[in-house]
Amino acid sequence: MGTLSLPVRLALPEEAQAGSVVSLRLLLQHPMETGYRIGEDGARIPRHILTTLRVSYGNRMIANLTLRPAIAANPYLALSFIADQTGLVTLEVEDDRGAKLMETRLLTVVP
Amino acid sequence: MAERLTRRQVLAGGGGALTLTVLPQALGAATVPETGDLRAVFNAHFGDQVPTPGGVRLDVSRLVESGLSVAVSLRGDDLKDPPEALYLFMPRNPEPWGLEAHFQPPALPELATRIRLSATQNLTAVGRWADGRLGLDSVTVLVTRGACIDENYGQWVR
Repeated sequence: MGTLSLPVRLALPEEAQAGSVVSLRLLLQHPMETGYRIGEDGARIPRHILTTLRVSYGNRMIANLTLRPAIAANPYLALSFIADQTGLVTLEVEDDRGAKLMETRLLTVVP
Repeated sequence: MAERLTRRQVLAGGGGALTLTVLPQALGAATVPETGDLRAVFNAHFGDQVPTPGGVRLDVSRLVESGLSVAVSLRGDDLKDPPEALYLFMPRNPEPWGLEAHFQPPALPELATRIRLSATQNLTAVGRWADGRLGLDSVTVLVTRGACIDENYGQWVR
């Protein structure tokens, strides 16, 4: 268990008009080691990937992603949603070694 | 003289015909989704149901220099009839199942990311709707240098 102490770059506006499309862009630092590569010592480099990304907004789970080794190293992910209420946007990221990262931002919705 | 001209004409004609037949396929100008490679994968994910073309849109470069990081975006076509899940499959990667995303309103059924591609292949996006419908979009992506052979990133097995 551990916390992903990874730099996470999250682009999310602080304010949005009700009914507008909000885009959420996320850049994580993670090797996304596939488990198929052979290192210099000739041994297989064990898999180490992010497995899950969950996004909730105003206490509703709005997106749940399963990530696989095909996702490139240092994953970039962009999602979008309709701003319908002022509330917390929470991102939860997990990797296959039990590390977790949680990031929360407040989105203020103006009429 | 007449013979030579004929030979040139034949060569020119043949070359032209070759270009015409190869180019559309190579550049994916007339991409026909080939799901053959994915039959087992589809079966594992969707059971008996087979996705048919339509309903989702996959955007990706048709020619990429490096398979290590390829920008893709996928989305449901019709916002009034959004798929509840989107999948991305790479039939020629070591693992063809690349990504699965489930959406609930007010999320929009769309996402963008960067993926690895081990070789030239038919990248396929599948959408699944709440009523069980399945739709797909497929793009042939020409990869000049696959994710598996970059010396900076070690050597792959397989």
